[in-house]
Amino acid sequence: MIPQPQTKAKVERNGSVAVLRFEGDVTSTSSGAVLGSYEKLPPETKEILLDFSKVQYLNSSGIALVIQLLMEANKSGQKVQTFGLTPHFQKVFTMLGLTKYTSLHPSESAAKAASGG
Amino acid sequence: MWRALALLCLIVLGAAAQTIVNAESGPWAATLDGTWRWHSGDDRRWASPAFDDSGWPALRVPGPVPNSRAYWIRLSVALGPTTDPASMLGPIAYMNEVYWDGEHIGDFGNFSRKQWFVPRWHTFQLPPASSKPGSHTVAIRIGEISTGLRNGRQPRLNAGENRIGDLAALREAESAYMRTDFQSRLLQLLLTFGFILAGLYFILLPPLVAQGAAFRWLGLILLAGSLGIIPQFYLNYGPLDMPDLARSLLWTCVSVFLIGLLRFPHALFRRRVPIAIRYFECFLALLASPVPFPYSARVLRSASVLAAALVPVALARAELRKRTADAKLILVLFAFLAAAIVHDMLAVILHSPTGIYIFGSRVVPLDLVFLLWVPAISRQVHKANLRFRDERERLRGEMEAARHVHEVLVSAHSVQVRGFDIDASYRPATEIGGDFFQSFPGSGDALFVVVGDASGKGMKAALLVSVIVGALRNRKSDQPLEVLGQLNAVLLDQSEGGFTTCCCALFVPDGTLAIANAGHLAHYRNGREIETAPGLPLGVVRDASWEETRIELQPNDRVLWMSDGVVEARNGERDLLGFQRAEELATRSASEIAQAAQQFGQDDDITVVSITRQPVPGLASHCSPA
Repeated sequence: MIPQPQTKAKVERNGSVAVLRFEGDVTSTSSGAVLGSYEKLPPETKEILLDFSKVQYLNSSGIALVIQLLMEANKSGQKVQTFGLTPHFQKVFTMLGLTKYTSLHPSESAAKAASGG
Repeated sequence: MWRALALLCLIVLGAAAQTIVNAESGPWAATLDGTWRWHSGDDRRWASPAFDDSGWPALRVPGPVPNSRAYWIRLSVALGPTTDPASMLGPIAYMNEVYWDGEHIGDFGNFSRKQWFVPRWHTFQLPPASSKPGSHTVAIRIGEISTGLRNGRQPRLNAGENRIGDLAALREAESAYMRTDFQSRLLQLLLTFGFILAGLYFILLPPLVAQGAAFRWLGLILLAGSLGIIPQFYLNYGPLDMPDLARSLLWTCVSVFLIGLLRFPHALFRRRVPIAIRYFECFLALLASPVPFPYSARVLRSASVLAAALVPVALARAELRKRTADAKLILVLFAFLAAAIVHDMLAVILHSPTGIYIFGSRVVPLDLVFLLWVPAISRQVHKANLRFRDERERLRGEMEAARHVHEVLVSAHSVQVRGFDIDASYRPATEIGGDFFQSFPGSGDALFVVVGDASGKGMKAALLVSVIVGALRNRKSDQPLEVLGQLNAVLLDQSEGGFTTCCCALFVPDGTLAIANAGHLAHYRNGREIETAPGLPLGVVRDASWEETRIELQPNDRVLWMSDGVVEARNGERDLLGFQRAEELATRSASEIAQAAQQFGQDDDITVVSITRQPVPGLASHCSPA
C-alpha cells in the first residue's frame, strides 16, 4: 500500500468566482479538503474553478467526493470548471460522465476564460 | 524527573551529611566542632588571622547554618605536630573559599565565575610551611544560592564532618562519607532501574494496543525522569569538571518529562493539543538551556514544573465530568503527582525535609508516586491490550467472512454458456474492495455479463456489492439499459456519498453485443478500446440515463474488461499503469493481465474478465438484444 500524501486545499475568491486548489492525493481522507472547502464558500459564489494541477492521484473514494461537490454545485446553480487534471484522470472524468457537470480545461487561463472570469 | 525535581531542591538548597563517628584511621584527626564566629556579608579582610572577630555572633557546630546567602565563618585552632596536614570540610555550601592564616588554600566552586557545585565533602591540603604546631586561624568564605533545603534536608554543620588532620586519613574519611551517602540512595537507584524498564516497555508497546500514543508519552515520562538520575548522581558523586553539562543534561530530562506530562493526557483522551500548551512546551524546552539561569529564573522553573503537573489534573477532571473511561484513575494518579510536586515546593519554601527513609535508604515522594503509577497503568495497559486483542480478532473474523463472501460474489458465480468462453481473474488487495463480476445465462443461449466497481473499501464496499448481486439475481430483464436503471434505483439510497461504476453487456449467439456503461473504465475488443458513450455511475442521481452501444462480434472476437485496480496500479515511483499500458496488455489472458498489474504495483482489487465468442456451427441466431 502506497502512503497517501494528505490533501491540502486552498481557496481563492474573487467576487463571485472561487478557485479551489487541491494538492496531494485525493482519497477517502480528503473529505475536509474537497467538501469542507466547498461548504465554506459564501452563497453568492456563482463560478467555481477546481484546480487539480498539483494532484497526481484520485482513487474512487476521492472521485466520489468530487462527484458530491459537483452535485451540490449543480443543485445550487453554480457552474464548475475543472483544470489541471492529468490526461489519465481527464479520461476517467469523461468516462464517468462528469463532463455533464463540469468542463475540463487544460489550463487555468482556459478555465477562467470559460467561466468568463 | 522526580529525581530531577529532587535535584532541583538539591541544587536550590544543598547537600546533607551523615555523621560518621569513627572516620579516623590516620595518626590523628581533630574535629572542628565547637564555637565558630560568623558574619553576614563578604569582605576579604576577614581572612586575616589578625582580624578581630570577637564581636561576631557565635555559631555552634554541630548546628544549623546561618540564614544568609553570603557570609564568613572563622575558628581558631590549636594544631599539634603533623607531617602532612589537611582540612576536610563537610557539605557546607554551594561555593566556598578556605583560608589558613590568611593564605588562600582551596576552593569549592568559583565565586568570580559564580560556578557552584552540589555541596559535598572536600579536603584541602594545608601548606606544611605554615602548619607548624601552635595556634592558627581557619576562615571560610561561603556563598549560597539559596537558604532553603539541601538535597531535601535542612542545612546543618554536622558533628565530626569538619576536621583537621592527616591528609590520607581525611581523604579516607571523605570517601567514607561519600560512600555512605551513596549507599543511602541505593533504593532510589533500584527504583530508577525499574522505572527505566517500565518506560521502555510503555514506549515499545504502542503498536500492540489501542491508545498507543498515550502509552508512548507515558514511557517517555518514566524514561526521562529516570535517566535524569545520571547527571544528578554525577553532580553529587562525580568529578567536579563538567557541572554545567550535567545540569544541562538534567534539565533536558526535566523538559522532556514535563512535555510528556502535558502530552500524555491529551493523547489518552484524544484531545487536540491547544496552541497555548505548545507555546508552554517551547518554554519548557528552554529549561535545558546550557546558559545558567539566575536565581529568579529558578523560581520560574519551579512554577513551570508545578503548572505542567496541574494541567493533566485539570484535563482528567474535565474528562471525569464527561464520564470518560479511566478518567477517575488518571485523575487520582496525576493528583498524587501534583501533590508530591507541591510537597517538594512547600518543603523548599518552609525549609522542611522532603526525603523519606525506607530501610535506611532515602527516597523522595515522587519515587513513591511513580511506584503507584507503574502497576496502576500497567494494569490499564493489560486491560486495554485484552480489549484491543478481542476487538482485532473480532474484526479479523468479520473481514475474513466478508472477504470470503466477496470472493464468492466476484469470481465464483460464472456460468458456462454454449458459444462463449469466459476467462476471469480476481486478485484481492489487502483491504476488501468493491469489484464485482456476474454472468448469467440469457434466453436463447445468450450470455448476460455485468462488471463493476463500488467506490470505497472494507465492509461498506462489500455490503454494497452484496446488494448489487442480490438485485442482479432478482432482475426482471437482461436488457442492459433496464438493468442499469434498476440497479441505480436500488443504489440511490445505499451509496451514502459513494458511487458504483457498472457495465452491463448482453452477448447474443448471432454475434450481437449490446453494452450499456455507467462510468465503468475502458473495455476492449481484440485488444482495442471500445468506444462507448460516457455515463454517470450508479447511485449518484435519480434521473440518470445511459446509452446503449451495439457491436457485431465475429467468431473468436474477445471482449475484455479491467477494473481500476489494473489501470490505476501504481509502482514505487507512484506512476500509474495507465490506459496505454493497459491497452498493450489487453490481448493477454485474464490471469496474465492481473499478474502484470500486480507486479507493477497493486493498490486495489484487480479484476479482469474476458468473453470470447466461440464459433458454434449450427447455432440458431433467433435472440435479439433489442
